[in-house]
Amino acid sequence: MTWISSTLYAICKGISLVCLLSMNRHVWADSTISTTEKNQLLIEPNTCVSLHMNQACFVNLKMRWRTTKPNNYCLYASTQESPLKCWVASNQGIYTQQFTTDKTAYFYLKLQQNDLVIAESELKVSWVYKKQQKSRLTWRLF
Amino acid sequence: MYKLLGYWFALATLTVFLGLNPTAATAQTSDEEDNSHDGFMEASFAFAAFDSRFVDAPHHFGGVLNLRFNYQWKGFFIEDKGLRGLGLPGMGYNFYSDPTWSFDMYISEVHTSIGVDDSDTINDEQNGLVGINPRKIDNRLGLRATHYIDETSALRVLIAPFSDLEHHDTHVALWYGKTWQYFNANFYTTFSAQYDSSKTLNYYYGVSNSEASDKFPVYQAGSGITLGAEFGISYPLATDWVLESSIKFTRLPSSVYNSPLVDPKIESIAHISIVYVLF
Repeated sequence: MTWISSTLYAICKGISLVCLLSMNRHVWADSTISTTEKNQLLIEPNTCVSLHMNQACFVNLKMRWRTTKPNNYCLYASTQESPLKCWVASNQGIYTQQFTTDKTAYFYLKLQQNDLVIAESELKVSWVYKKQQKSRLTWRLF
Repeated sequence: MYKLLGYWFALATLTVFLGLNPTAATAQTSDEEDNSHDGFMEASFAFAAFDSRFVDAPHHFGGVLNLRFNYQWKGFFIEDKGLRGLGLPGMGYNFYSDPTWSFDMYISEVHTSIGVDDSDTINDEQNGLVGINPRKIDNRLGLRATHYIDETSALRVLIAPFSDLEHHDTHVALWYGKTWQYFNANFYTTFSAQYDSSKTLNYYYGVSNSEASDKFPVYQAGSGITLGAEFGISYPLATDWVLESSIKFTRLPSSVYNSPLVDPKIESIAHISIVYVLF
C-alpha cells in the first residue's frame, strides 16, 4: 500500500498550496444580486455542487427580494410554471425552500397583475467530476 | 516484474495487431468520453485508522497524504488508487469496451512483500515479524473483465495466472460495487472475494523449518478465500473538493489467520479524507 514517501509528500505539499488558494476562490464567490434598477432578488447560495455530471443537486435556497414600490408580487422558478409564492401589497419578502435541479435554474420576481419581470437571479449547478466516464465509476468502486 | 512486463507487452502487441482495441467496440455510448486520451488525478489528505493482519502490529492512526490517478491513452492505462490499492500502480491495456462490458490485460500487485527492508507497509505493521524469511511482492498479469450492470453498479473479475514468483497458482478475484445518491452525498459499497491457492498462501503465511522459532512454529498454509466489504461516502464541498470517508473489513481465510504470522481474523481500515480533484 502506498504510504507517505518523500517524493509523494513533496508533490502533495505543492498541490496543497495550489488547492488552498483555489478553495478561497470557491468560498468567497458565493452570492450575487441580480438587480433591475433598485429592485433586487438575492438567492443564497447561488451555486449548487453535486459529485457527478448530470446528478441532481440539492440545495436549501433562501430568496430575499426588495422593490421600490409596494405591490402584489410573485416569485417564480424556471423549473415550474406555478409561482413559488406570492405577496400582497409588499415591497420585500423572504422565501426558503429545498430545491432540486440538475441544471442552471432561474428565479424571477414578477408583478402579479401583468407578469412583468421585476428582478431575476440564477442558481448555477456544477459538478466535481465533469465527465461521464465508466472508468471513473469502477475506479471509485474498486 | 520485468518478466511480467515482457508478457504484457507481448500480449498487448498481439491484441493491437489482431485489431482488438477499444475503438473496435462499436456500441460506444454517446455521453462516454473519447477513450483515446483521458484521465483524472486527485490528491487526498486522510486521517486513517488501520488494524493490520500481522502479529504484534501496532494499531495505526495518523495522517496520510496520497495521490490517486488514472490515465488512459489509446487503450493503455495506468492507475493508482492510493489508500484503496496496494503499492504499485496497476497498469494494463483495454482491448474491448462497450456500454456493458470492458476487458483489460492487467498487471497489479496482489500481495505486498513481507519481511523485506523496503516493504511497502503501513507504519510498522511488520515489526513483529523479525526472524521471518523475506517474501517478495506478488505482481500479477491477468485478464480483468468488468460488467456494468447499470449506471450505478458493476461487477469485476480478475483472473491472474502469471506471476513473477516461483511458487504461485492462479489468483482469482471478484468484486461487486454499487453507488447511490442521497441528497448531495454519494454512497458506495463493495463486496469482494479473492481466491489464492495453497502454493501462494503458503509462500506468504507458511513457516518453514529454516525460519521456525518459539514465536513462529512450523506452519503449512492451505488455500483460502479472502472476503472483503467496504462502505464509503463522498460529499462534494466545492467544485474541486470532496469530503470522503470509508470503512473496509477484510475477513481472512482460516489458512491465513491460523498462521503464526497473523493475529486477527479481520483486518480493518477506516479513514476520513479531504480530496482535491486536480482534473
